[in-house]
Order: sequence, then C-alpha cells, then structure tokens
Amino acid sequence: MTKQPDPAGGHHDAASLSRNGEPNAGIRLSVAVVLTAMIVAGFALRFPRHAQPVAAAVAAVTAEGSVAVAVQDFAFAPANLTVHVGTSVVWTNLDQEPHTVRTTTSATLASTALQTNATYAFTFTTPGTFAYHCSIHPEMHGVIVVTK
Amino acid sequence: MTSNDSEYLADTPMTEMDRRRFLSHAGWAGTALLFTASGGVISACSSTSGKTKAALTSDLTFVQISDTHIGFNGPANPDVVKTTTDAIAQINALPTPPAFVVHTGDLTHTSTPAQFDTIRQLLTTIKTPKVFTVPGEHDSTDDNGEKYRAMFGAGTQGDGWSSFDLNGVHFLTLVNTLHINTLGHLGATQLAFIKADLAKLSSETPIVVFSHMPLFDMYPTWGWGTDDALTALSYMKRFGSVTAINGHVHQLMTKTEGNVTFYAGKGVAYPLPAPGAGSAPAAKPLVVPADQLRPALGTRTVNFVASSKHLNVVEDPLL
Repeated sequence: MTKQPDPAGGHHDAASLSRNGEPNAGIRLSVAVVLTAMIVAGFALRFPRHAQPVAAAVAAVTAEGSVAVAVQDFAFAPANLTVHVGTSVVWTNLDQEPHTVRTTTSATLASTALQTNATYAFTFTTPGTFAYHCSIHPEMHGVIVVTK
Repeated sequence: MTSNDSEYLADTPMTEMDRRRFLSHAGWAGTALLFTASGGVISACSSTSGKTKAALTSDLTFVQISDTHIGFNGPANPDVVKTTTDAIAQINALPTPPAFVVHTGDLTHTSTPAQFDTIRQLLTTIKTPKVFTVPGEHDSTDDNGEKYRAMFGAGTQGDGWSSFDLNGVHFLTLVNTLHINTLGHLGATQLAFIKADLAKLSSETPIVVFSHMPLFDMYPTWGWGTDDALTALSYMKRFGSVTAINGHVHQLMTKTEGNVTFYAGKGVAYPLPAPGAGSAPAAKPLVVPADQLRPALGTRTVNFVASSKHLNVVEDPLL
C-alpha cells in the first residue's frame, strides 16, 4: 500500500484515516495520531464543512487518499462530498447513538451499526453519484459524487 | 416527561381536563363506557395502573411493550435489561394474563445476535400465551431484518408482516422500517397484502394495526411518519373501528383521524424529546433525572369489550 499523500491544504480531515481493514501498524498509528490531534483540537477545523461550503465540498486529496466524513449530531458532515475515483471515504460516528451508512442502490456500500467512535471506510472505484443514508435514522442523508 | 405528555394530550381528543377527571375517578375504570366516543373507540389514561384494571370487564386484553433497545448503553438509561425485566414483571402482575403481548419494535439497539438472544429470552418470561413482534429500524441495521426474522419471523410473510383474528378483532402486524428513505415505508408488496387481507372482512370487524413507526405524520422532520401509510389506511376506511398502535417515538401521543385512532406508545428503554417547534435538532435519547426515568417509561394495556366493540387503552408507567 502506498503511503498516504499529504493533502494540498494540509487539513487533517483529508488523507488522515487509513482504509478499512488494512492490518497495517503504521496506518493504525497514523489513525491514532490523527484522532488524538482531532480530540486535542476539539474537532475544530477538522472536517470540510468548516473549511468550505457544505453544498460543494470537494475532497482536497489525490486519487489515492482518503477523506473523512463526520457522523455527528444526527447528520453527515459534509453531507455532500465530491471525490476522485479511487478515494476512500471514512465515516466516523461521533454521536452516542449508533448510525449506519447504507444505500438502496448498492449492496457493497453498507456499514454495520457504528457505535461511538467506530469508523467505516469505502473506496469508490467507479464514477457516479452515490446517495446514502443512515438506516436507523432515515432523516440522515448524504451524497458522494465520484469523478474521474 | 410529564409536561410533554400533557402537551400531547392537550392536542388530542383526551384533554388534560379529561385526564384529570379520569384520574379522579379512576375507580370507575370498570365502567369505562363513560368514555364511549362516537368514533367507536374509547380511551383512558391511568397513572397508577394495577388496581384500576382489576375491575375491568374485558373480552380480550392485550399488552403493548416497545422499544426495549437491548444493547443500549448510555446515560439515558444505564440498564435497559433491568427496565425491560421490570416492565415484564408488571405485565406478569396483571390480574389476568393478557391474551397476547405485542412488542412494537426496536427490540435491540444494534441488531447483534447477542442482543436478539437476550430479548428473546426476556420475552419468553412473559406470562401470556403468545408474543407478537414487529421489527424496528434498530432491528435491521445491517441485514434488512434477516437476523430478526430468523428469530421472530415464524408465521409471518414477506418482510415479517402478518395478520390474525382473536375474539372478533382482526389484527395486523406491519413492517414499516425496512426500505425506509426519509419516512417509514410499507412497500407495494405489503400494501397488496393488507388490501387482500382486509377485503374478506365485514366492515363491522374492529381492526387493530401494529407498526413500529407511526402510520400518521407525527413529526416527519425526524422521520416520524410512513410515506405510504395513506394507501394502507384507505383500505381501512370502510371499517367502523380502526386502532393503530406504534412505538418508535418513546412517548405518548393519541390522535384521531376519521375512523382511525392512533396511539403512539412509550418505550421501556429511555424517553425521547418531544418534537415540534423549539425541539431538539434530533431525536436523541433524553437524559432525565434518575427519579424521572421510570415514569417516562411504560407499557400499555388494551381491553376490548366485544358487546360494544370498544377498545379501552390504559397506560402503565413503569413503577
């Protein structure tokens, strides 16, 4: 696996979390470091919704990076996200309630119930628009637009 | 939650004055026909339970338990197994065992096999001939309800719906928590089942419908409704008495629309905030002072008097 590239803007939200299920100690360490940084910073400025307009959040990563989506206060943040093909999107549940990432159009974009601080990663390999929701809280919606 | 309950009741056919009047005459519960309503449904609230029901003359009694959320672990209720166990103990203390108990969903919190096994074991301790269930969205977090149906789906069709007759009452147990998008959803297959199921019945037959999410628009902002419920209800228009009982919202609300009376019930895990203007942005578990938790939880006893075709609904807070 290639090393995660630094995002252009240097935000920790981008390229900060490893892909799901990679048994790589280095990646796990980087997750721990980044999560610690997030906690220390009180989550301020860590997620794209704070840095750019929510409606047009564009992932500031290269094709091999990963992008974080916070699941917080019964909402996905950013709710609308554009990424390049090959990007891994990592959802982290920051609520006390469990949430899921599910879609009615894909059998593979489907998390189990995420408890507090649990993450789910999905790498988008085809261009398109992927609407998703939380199967437990149907009012929670998000969209990932995957570009070439 | 008392003030929230009062607000709700104030919006319903049962005003706060009605409730106070009822409470002041709780001993009259045995003659609850005092509350006969033209719609064919009577309702009553009790904050004390137990004694009042002893005098009731009923041809059919069943109990609703809901939203046990086994697996929940948070400040809103540090021990959901205990509150569930205590709720079951209250049911088992009823003067006459109910003909059946219905669990209106969210048996578990996150649909794990261990959680399903725990609630299954707890439900088997209820002194009643039969326990029916409908799934909640917490019971199908990752498998469209497969684990739920493997354990609780015997005798059901499709996603887990069913119907049955008892003492002249026709019951439907519906599934509106699969295939949800923004609101609850029944789906075309289930709607066809409902239509065919009801078609063979006399319009005199009292209908009781169980679902997890409300079949009325309680608060669509939080997903508290069912987007195709009106189609299902259109099949029920010719019936004189239709009662729809749901869980999901963890609080009491009663509403009458035409021939249908809706009863949203409490959970036994934790309360949720009251929806509406000025409400919280999401329906997060409500943390209340310890001494206010149990009154915010509860079950519901429904008595059916065949001669009058009336249902009498008694709310039983967790004591």
